[in-house]
Amino acid sequence: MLFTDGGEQLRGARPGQFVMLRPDWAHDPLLPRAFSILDVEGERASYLVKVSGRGTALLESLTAGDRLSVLGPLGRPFPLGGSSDVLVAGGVGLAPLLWYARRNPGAHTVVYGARSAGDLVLLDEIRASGVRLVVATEDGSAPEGERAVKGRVTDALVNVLADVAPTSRVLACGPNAMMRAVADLAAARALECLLSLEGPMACGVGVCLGCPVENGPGAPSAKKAWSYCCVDGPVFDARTIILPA
Amino acid sequence: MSTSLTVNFAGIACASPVWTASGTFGYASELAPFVDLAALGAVVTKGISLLPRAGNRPPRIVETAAGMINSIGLENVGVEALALVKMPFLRASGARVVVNFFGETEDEYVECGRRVAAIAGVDALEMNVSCPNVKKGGVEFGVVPDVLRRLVRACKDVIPKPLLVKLTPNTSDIVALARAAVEGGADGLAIINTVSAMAIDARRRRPRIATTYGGLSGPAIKPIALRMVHQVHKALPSVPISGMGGVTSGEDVAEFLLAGATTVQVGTQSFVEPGAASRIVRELVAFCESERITDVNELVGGLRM
Repeated sequence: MLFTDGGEQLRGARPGQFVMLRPDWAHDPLLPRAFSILDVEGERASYLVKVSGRGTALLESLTAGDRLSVLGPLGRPFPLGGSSDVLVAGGVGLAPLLWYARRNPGAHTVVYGARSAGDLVLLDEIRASGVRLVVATEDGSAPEGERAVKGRVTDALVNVLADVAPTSRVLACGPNAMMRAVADLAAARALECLLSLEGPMACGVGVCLGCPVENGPGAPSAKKAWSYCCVDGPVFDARTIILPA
Repeated sequence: MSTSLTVNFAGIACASPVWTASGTFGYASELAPFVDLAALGAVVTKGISLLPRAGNRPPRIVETAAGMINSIGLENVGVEALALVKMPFLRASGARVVVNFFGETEDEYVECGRRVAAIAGVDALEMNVSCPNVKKGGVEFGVVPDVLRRLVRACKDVIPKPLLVKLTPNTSDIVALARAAVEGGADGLAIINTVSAMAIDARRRRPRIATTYGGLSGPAIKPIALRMVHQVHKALPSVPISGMGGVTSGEDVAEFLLAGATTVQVGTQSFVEPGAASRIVRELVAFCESERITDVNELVGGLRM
């Protein structure tokens, strides 16, 4: 978990929005990194960071008091308002969904998947948000006090979707393969499905054109080939886009 | 002590030598919240073609050591949307407007250049000649001096405004390309475009961008850009040069001016921090004051050898 302090710029941020973070790391790595916001309290914002390369490793090595630039809030958030949504999280994709559950309390279900029980984070925070928690692990291991479905997050989702209200929405954030399977399950039950995507962005503000997402038949502007993850997303209605492989 | 930052580039009066580079600043409205547009020397817009283009499939960009490779595929809104949708903001911004343009055939270049030049509020044009010539087997227009000279001449004939030609660094003789462009009628040169490059994912055994090769930009290419600006300025001292490649600070701008550039474009750094161009203008002022320079033009070509 990474925290940033200072400034009021993120006070109006909403779940699903993101920031571009960049410590003063001279010219290498060059580009800022995009992170979904986990929470904002006063002037403190938090983010879930999984070390996956040199940039995130350098972020992990920061210590309290180090300075970094924060550009945001950026992008379009999850529309609030659902009263019994199904929130499907894969790995660090938990961040925007947990914040959504905290900001928009209701009879939500969080379906949270990881390789193993040890990879699941913030379980107390998820429980404290008042949601029902369903855990899926690929190796079948369960965190203390929980049962786990052995398999992928979608294996657990099938059962959850079997008895949700038709007005429930499915909100998902995680690997593309997971989100594609989640969107298919939601579509089969005619549920609205909102996905929070990740894209290779240099700028985060619609200038570099590095993060195109292919428009699907339901896109608002079907004449255009692409939407952009940074300014048109990162939250998209699943029917409007074609997820990359 | 105050420093005069105004420069004249091929007849364009600029508030400062700092321009924004094509493809890194959109059509200016995107980054307007972060930058004082009127304090810039000029905004160079995303490259425009006659018709809109969708660009390449992703992945289009990848970060590399002190730089990035891109292969966007010249995605743009087309000349009509530029005139109707994008120009009203640019005209009202107070910035000088340089429109970058290109075509896939000589006829397309000429027609696009003619239509861009006719748009009110366009102060100058910048030709991107790093575009594959579809009629000549995909070889770029900008790499063969004779082809380049002919293309520039054909465009210059229909463009009554200052015309810059943006040269590719992917050549063994940048001076030969510069001479050809000037002989064709170029009023100024933009040096350099991105450096042809690739990145490989060894574990997946695949190129990291969809088109295999792309253009390298960022601090990694600054020494190459400085060398090329210097070579061209030495050979053609009276031709104005807009230098670029890895500019991240006011001192970098000074380096390009010393090498012989009259203006300097900020590119990839605008991705790193959207307010980069304004910060760089402020740093250039501070540099000049610390060096007791009262007129920034003193720096142009002022390298001691």
